[in-house]
Amino acid sequence: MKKFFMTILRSVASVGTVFLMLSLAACGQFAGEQSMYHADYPYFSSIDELTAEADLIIIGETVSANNVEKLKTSSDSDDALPYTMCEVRISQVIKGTAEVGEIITVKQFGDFKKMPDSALKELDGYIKKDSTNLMFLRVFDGVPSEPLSPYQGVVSIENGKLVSKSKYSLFGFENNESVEDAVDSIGAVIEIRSKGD
Amino acid sequence: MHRMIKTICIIVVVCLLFATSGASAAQYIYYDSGLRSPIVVVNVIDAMGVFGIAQTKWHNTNTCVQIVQGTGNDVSTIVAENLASSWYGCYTPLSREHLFFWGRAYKCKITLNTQLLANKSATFRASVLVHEFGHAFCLDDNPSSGNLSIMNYDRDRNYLSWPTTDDIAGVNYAYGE
Repeated sequence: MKKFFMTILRSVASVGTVFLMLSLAACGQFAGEQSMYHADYPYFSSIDELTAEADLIIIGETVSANNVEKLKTSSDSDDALPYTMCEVRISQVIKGTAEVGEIITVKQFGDFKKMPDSALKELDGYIKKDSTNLMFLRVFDGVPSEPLSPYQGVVSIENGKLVSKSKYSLFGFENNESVEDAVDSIGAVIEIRSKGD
Repeated sequence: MHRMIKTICIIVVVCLLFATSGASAAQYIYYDSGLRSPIVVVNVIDAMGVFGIAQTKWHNTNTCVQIVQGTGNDVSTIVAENLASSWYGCYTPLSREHLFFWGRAYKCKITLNTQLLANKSATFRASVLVHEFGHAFCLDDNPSSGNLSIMNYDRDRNYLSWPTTDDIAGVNYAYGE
């Protein structure tokens, strides 16, 4: 009786496993990804290029995050696009006009939950509350600033070291430089450029 | 009992290999929110003067893709807008095939950002538009090959404005050529 029961159990388990695995395989083949924006962002081949393009370079702590708003960012149409916003308290200004202690709003393209930007989604790049980041920002009139690129515009700071998941990042991907070293590198570029001007 | 566990493990591994084979066998990355049809009818509202270049670059490939102009509610669109945003161009899939698991799109919207593109060369702008059409034809960003690709984030947009061998292989995979 026990043997018969075990045989039945084995058969059910085997059939169930095969069915489950085939279902998983089918999902892998046919399941799609949610709708996302696929934006083509500028690429910067050097710290020099990245620094030159940024209007504002800061280090700051995120005091609030994941606030989604539709913003009218186009001067040509009334269409509004979704952005995920965060508020950043500035702890250091490396380039540009801002004050230490000031809280600025930073926007990132897409609704992080319903309709994200694919690069930000892939890199888990939407800025998180309580995180500290080195940011290379583009400043706009009348709308919040935005990182130059999801791949290169925001670098996380953890225990005084720079950390990035993006292989294109000029900081924190292969070498976890210290914040001081990075600030020195950027400062040197700014100094050379200002002498050139 | 041990034999049964071993058998189950083998089945799991085989099924996972089967499930991921489509993506890992190739150097391009298949993008499943591309267009259902390789013939895209597009209403060109404004393509910053490079629609013809992008169209020719794709028509010159050994693929079944066609880009034709048209109007109406069921067609894709290309617009150029002065946007306070950090990107050059953006592909948005519209009208997905399925309610669940989404599937491919019936149409799309391609947006070019004039704020960042106005001072760029025609080659540069064409590189962006050809890239966005790459999404329409089921190519994802940043293929794993490391080879030249119009889908690379770090491509030289002042030089590379055509679909490469990898891109063509990806499109032919997507549309069963």
